[in-house]
Amino acid sequence: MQEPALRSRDTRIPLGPVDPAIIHRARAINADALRAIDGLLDQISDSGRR
Amino acid sequence: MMELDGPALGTFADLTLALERECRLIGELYRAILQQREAVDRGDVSGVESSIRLASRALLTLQETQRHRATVLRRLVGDPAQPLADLDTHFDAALPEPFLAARRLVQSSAAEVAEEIWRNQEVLLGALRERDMLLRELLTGSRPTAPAEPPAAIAEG
Repeated sequence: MQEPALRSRDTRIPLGPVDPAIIHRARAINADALRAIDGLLDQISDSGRR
Repeated sequence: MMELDGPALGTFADLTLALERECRLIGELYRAILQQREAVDRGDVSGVESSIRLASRALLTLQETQRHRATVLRRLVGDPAQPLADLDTHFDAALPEPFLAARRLVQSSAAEVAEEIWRNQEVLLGALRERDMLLRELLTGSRPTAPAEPPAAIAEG
């Protein structure tokens, strides 16, 4: 019979309050939001043409 | 120079509605960003996930509204990418006040939400580093004596 720790190589260590994968997802969506908002600000506040 | 006649005023009303909608969506994004920060602070995984869903939804709808605004702009001046800041150079009269007010509001809300998003990026990076330190502490039995990276790297998006 296989040891529990060897059953799955990508078993996560349950350490820290929030899973790093979720933090990375949050950072990715925030980066998308920043790009969209920067584009919007360029369109609205900059008098220079693209 | 174009005349600010009836049809143009009607199109300006559509443009104002589009901007007001963008402003509401920026407000939704703002709330999602604050929720995300609080959830990270509490270590609330489902709260962070919920904030990601809310932010994604607000962002998708915002992009849809911006595409709609581009079609309205094409109808108004023939250029879907016309910067809103320069719109007055196309017309022979002052632009309608509701449009100017909506444009100001979108600008200030967008600047405000951008600041909050930057703050969250720093908070999230801090959470990753904290977890990394805890992991090292667990594995080595002591906290690292020097920071892993210089503080200048914190601003990285």
